[in-house]
Amino acid sequence: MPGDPVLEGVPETAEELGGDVLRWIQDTLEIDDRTTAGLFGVDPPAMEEWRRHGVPVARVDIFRRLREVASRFHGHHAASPGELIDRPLRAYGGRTLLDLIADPTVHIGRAVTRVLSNPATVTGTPPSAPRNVPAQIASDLMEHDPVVVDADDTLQEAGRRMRAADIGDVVVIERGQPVGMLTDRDIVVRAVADRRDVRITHCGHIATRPLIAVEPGTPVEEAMRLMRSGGVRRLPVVEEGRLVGIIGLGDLVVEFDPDSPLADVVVAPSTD
Amino acid sequence: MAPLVGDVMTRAVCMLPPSSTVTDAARVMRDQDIGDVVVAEDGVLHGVVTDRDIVVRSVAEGHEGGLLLGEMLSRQLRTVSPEDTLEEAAARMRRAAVRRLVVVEEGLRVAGVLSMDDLLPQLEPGSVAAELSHRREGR
Repeated sequence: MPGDPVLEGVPETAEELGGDVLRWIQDTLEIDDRTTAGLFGVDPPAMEEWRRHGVPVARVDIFRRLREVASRFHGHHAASPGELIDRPLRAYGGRTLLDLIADPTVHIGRAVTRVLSNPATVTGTPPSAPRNVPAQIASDLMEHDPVVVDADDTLQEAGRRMRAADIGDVVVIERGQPVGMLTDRDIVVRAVADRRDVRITHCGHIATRPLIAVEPGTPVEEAMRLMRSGGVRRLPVVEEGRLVGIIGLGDLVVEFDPDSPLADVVVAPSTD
Repeated sequence: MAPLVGDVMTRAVCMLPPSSTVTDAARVMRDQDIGDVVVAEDGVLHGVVTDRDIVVRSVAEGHEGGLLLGEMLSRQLRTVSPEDTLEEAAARMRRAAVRRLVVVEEGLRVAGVLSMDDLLPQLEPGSVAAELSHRREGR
């Protein structure tokens, strides 16, 4: 977005990413601290911290998406964000704008424009919670022995493990404890694009922190909500600071509705 | 008449020549917030490079980012024609488990790209293709 004072140049100063802009986003979208914190995958107290010191660079992606949504709503008088933001959207299979913001595969600017230009895509009622899912907990569905890297391992090593295991993310371990996630996309946009040498750059420098994780006893429904709000596909399962497993969106969808056409797609192996 | 792929596709395609480097592609992916880049020369499609391709074929091998895109393309091209119906395109996305297809005319000439976002508002609510909107790339 050339000429945009917030996004241009980006984005390491508190002035650019901090309090005023964050507040403007929240006011424009009419979302509260809890919702905003959920989208960023942090606790509400962290938001207070961000108001003073700015949004961490690691969360710039979601910040940009929120900023994009807010700017499209800004000055648009036909619809109130507060009314639209959590309504199911027919054109998006019942997902809400909040869901779409959290889904990095959706072009969020286009989605908002589409919704604003055609309010008929919005169905009448807000989503009812809790949804119709069995009462299961994370440990019922988790995969054991997730692939990990040490914070001191190189990105090349992370890439090898992703290739060997045919996965797109690894859990980053520091001093025996899980501290963050590293995805194939993180490596590309934060390291390769910056010409960092993948043979010497450490995973700990590129990983997304803090870790968004669940406990073995976390209800699956809660885990799904966290995945949506954090814009992640897989969540580590952590018990007393130790990594004990990982659950993925694919596991959850198949578990809930193995007959749905959606399940086929979610578990379809990548043919790349 | 029902719209065809050519009516709803995105014509502005971000293309790089095969002589571009992995670093070039990574920058485009970062700056445009996309996960794949179309590789073409003189408008003719050579292939597509995804962020995952970069990790598997360049990072894992310890290349420094100077690897040329032409050296790492997968030969499997997932394309549709501007004359295909939207249902055909949706079925192809579903089979290939991808969210974007390159639209090519005769001679593999790139005409545009068709993404799930282009397709969805055109399809009937509740159709199989519309259900694809839920898809995330679980791996």
